[in-house]
Formats: sequence, structure tokens, C-alpha cells
Amino acid sequence: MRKKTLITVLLVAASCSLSHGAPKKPTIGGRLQVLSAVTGREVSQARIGSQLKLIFSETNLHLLANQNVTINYVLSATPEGSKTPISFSGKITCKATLLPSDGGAAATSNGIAFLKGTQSDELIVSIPEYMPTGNATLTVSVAAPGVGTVALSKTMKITL
Amino acid sequence: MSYRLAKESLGQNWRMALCVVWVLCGTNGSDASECIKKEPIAPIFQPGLVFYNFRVLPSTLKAQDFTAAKAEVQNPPNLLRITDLNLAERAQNLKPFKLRANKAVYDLESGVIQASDGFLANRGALSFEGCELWKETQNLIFDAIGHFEIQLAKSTPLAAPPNRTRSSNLSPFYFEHLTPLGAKLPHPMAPLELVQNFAQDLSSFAKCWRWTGAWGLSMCENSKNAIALISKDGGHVDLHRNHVQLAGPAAIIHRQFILISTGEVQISQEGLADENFMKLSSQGEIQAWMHAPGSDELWIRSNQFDCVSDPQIIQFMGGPIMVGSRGVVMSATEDWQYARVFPGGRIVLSPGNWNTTGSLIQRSQ
Repeated sequence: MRKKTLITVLLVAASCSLSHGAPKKPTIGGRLQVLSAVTGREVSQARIGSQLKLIFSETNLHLLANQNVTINYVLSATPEGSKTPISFSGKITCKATLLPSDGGAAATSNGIAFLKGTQSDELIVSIPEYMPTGNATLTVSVAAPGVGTVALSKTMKITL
Repeated sequence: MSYRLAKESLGQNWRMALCVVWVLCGTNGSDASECIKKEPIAPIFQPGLVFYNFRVLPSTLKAQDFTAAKAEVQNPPNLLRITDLNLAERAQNLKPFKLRANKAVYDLESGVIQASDGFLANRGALSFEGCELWKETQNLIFDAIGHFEIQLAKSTPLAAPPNRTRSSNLSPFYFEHLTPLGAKLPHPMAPLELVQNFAQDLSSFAKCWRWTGAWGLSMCENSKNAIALISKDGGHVDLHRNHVQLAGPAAIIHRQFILISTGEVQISQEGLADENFMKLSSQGEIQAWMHAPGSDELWIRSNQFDCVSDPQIIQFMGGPIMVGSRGVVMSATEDWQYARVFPGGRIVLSPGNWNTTGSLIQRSQ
């Protein structure tokens, strides 16, 4: 009886040590900042026709090194009195080229050097003049094959 | 100085050349009307007594300060029939409200003012002109009766109020003076003529608007943010909430458009007297014409209207709306759809379905 108990304890301990020792697969992630393209300050509201600078900062940038990266952005708002949201969206594809200091190999990109050398990516987006005023949601997603996708959202107010 | 002292100095001669009446109030910060209630009007105010160069001075910042060329005590004696009223009211954190009236009845107890035979009022950059005014409180709220005009322009001292019961060329407005002959009427809509029907006096509004000229530069610097609101049947003004209600029919002359409404118009403005972001709504048959050069034929029509305007862009919504431009009419199919007019007359329509009649393609001859 005592032997059986001892074996069980050992088995449990062994399984625990195995599970703790398994390497966790890293994923891309980060944070999104919305800035005025004019002032460079973070904003929570913007006028139609104005330009926004979107900064997506990765926490595991090395995962995107030499990858074909797709960045999607969507700004969506529902006009008061309507049930249908109005949105505009855009897509950027590029091959990430990272400096060795950022965890990448030598630059080999023949695409847009979008992720070059920094820990953040910047997009300049103009809010279309047809967008409704009021509360809007801005979503930016970054995806790379074999690495995964991360989507980040911010709410903001659109004014005339 | 007290009423007793004033009375003694007067003796039995009730008619006097100069009279200054100090309304003695407590120092507890209460307003003038409360003070007057605490301080009996009698015995100096006897029916039939006439004061010349009459003046009531406040003892607190919130009180009314008014002067009159002539004040006749009525029966009951708290009512004064006043000629040439000049009144100033000061509320906390607000610019003073000034009122001039040719004739008025003033209630010393309640502070109610009924102005008639023309009045001018002013607070900051806002000027009001009309036939009759009814003001009950010191909360900068009043009702206008009959012909009523509001002007937003640079602040200016009040001129003598014109007698609005008669047609008069005397204008208190501080707008660029233009002669009606210089105004170019767009054909065939002629909105200026439509406004004239409301204003009944072309000179009173043609002065405030240079019809021709480039978008945004069409006004003189002083009247860049100018707006004129005209109603034949008066309106309600709440300066605390920056809210104006005009009885229909009403006309609005804005920097970017002229709007005519058969129904009531409500206007609220963030920073009503300064940088304007205006919200306007109306029920009734409404049509607005854009002022933009080269877009004389751009109009927007609806029977229910919500309009938002900032100094550059104006958005029309509701109804649903119809947009007409150069023979093409686009009709929104849902109420939420909107049209935005940008400087230069450029128009952007909202998403959603628009029914179009007319041809957008102009064939060469």
C-alpha cells in the first residue's frame, strides 16, 4: 500500500515537471496608439478629413522577421438612427525586414521595408469625409503566416 | 439713502427733474427681485407719480441695473410704465445682458419686463431686435412677440432701438453695410427675395450678407461667424442653455447658407457667442440654399431637419433629405442619411441609397 502511494506521487511529480518544462510558443502581440498626424499627440477624437497616425507596437517583433506581414485596419461607426454601420478599411502587405539588432537576419526584403529597424509600425490614415459623426471603433490587425494574428481595437469619436 | 430721505427731499412735489432711487438690499447675495420683495415699494411709489431720469442701482452683482428717461408709477404701484428703458443684468460667470426698449412696463416686485414698440437686447456677440419682449426672470430667458431678429456678430454697444412697429431703415446691426442693389440674386430661386418676405425690410438683412464673393471670404472680418435669425412671430431665447426657438415661419442667414422654414426652428450652439458649432432642427417645409460661388443652384430640402455646422462644414440630415444641384435631384431613402457641404460648395453624400433624377452628365451642344 505504501509502495503504491509512493509511485503515484512520483508519477504526478514527473508529469508536473514535464508540463512546466514544455516551451511555450511565442505569439505576436502589442498595443495600438492613435495619434494626430499633425500634432503627434494621442487622440480620442478626430475630425472627418483629418489624418491619424496609427502605431502598432509589437512585443515579439522577431517573429515577424522576413515574413510576409498583412496589416488590416477598419474604422467603423453607426450613424444615429441607422442600424447599419459605415466603415472604411485598408490593407497593407509587406515583407518585414528587421535589423539584426532587432532580432532579424540581414535585410532581404524586396517589398516595402515596413517594419524596418523599429519596434513599431506606423500607418497614416485619413478619415473619409463620408464617415458618420459619433462613436467609432478602430481595429488594426497584424497577421503573418505561421506566426498568427493579433487584432487590437480603440474607440474614438468622430466629429465634423 | 432711503426712500424716506428721498421723499423728504421731494416734499410734496411729485414731479421731479432728476431722481435716483437706491434699491436697498440685504447683503446676503440674494438677487434684486428678492430684495425688492423684502423692501416694500410704498410709500414713495404712488400711482400717478412720474420720475424723470429714473435709475435703480443694484447692490449685488446679480441685480438689475436700469435707467429710464421717464418712469410713471401705475396702479398697483409696483408697476412702472417706462420710456426709454436701459437695463443691464449681470449673472455669475456670464457676460452682462443689456436691454434697451422704447416703451416698457417694469414690475419692481418680480422683475418682469414687458417691452413694446421695439427693443434691442445684447449679450456678448449676440444682438436681439424685435417688436415686443416678455422677460420674467433674471435667468437671461425671454420671449419675443412679433417680428424678431437675432444677429451674431462682433459685440457692439447698443444703438437706439428702432421703432419696429413701423418700417425703419435704422439698423442696430454691426454687419458690413451693403446696399440691396449690390446683392446678386441667383436665378430662379432668389432666396434673398424669400428672406425679404420674412424680414419685410430688405435693408435690415441685406446689410449683413455680401451675397457675391468667395466662400469663407464673403463676410468682413467682424462678421466672419455671423448668423442672422429672423422670425415673423417671435421666439423664445434661453441664454443660459444657449438655446433659441423661433416660431415659424423663420429664415436663417448663415455664413454658408440661407434657410427658410415654414415651421418652428430650434437652434442651439456650443459657445453661442463665440466660435460656433451650431445645431439646428426644424419641423415643417424647409429649404436651404448654399452660398458657395458657382453653386447657386445647390439646395437641400426636407420636411424635418437636423443641421450641424462648424465654421467649415455643414451637415444636413433628416427627413429624408433631398439635394438638388444643377438640374439633378438626389433623394435619400432613409432619415439618417446626410449631405455635407464643404468649402467651395463641394458636397459629399452619406452612404446609403439615393434616388437620382436628372442627368449627372452634361452633354456638349
